[in-house]
Amino acid sequence: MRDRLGEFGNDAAIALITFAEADNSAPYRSRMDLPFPMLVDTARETYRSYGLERGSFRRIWGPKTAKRYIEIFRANGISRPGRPTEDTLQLGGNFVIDRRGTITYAFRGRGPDERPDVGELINAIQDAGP
Amino acid sequence: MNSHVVVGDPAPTIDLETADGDKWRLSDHLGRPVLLIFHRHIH
Repeated sequence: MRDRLGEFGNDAAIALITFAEADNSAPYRSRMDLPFPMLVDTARETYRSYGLERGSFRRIWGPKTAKRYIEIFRANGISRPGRPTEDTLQLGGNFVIDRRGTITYAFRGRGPDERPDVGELINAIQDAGP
Repeated sequence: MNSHVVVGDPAPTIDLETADGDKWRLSDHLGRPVLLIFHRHIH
């Protein structure tokens, strides 16, 4: 995503929302050097208001997840990840909101392996821009 | 199950602090397209 950040347009606001405690998110922020703000929602009220639920243990920790993590660790050179300290069943998602405050794109992953393509997000934000 | 917000609905309010301690409100970004990325857990 970082490589294609310019394609989102200078006008777009991008925010990452996490439910991790600040102490846990700090190493991630440092490693990722995020070019946009990280919002902290430890109570997960925002997750609930956007309809992001907890997944089933079987779905979250099944073979598709193992495959996905292997891909990530290969790409990032991480050989031994730390033990998760947060709720690993919480699902993520992506939303695009237009200039008037209306949701124009919604993606709710059912597991860690389900994420939208960056091109799909770029198209969604460009469509929301006019 | 929650009643999900869907495309075409008004975006639910967001009023959170950033990891740097700044305030971030969705309403402050009216007039711009916004991409929200809800992260899963951090490992």
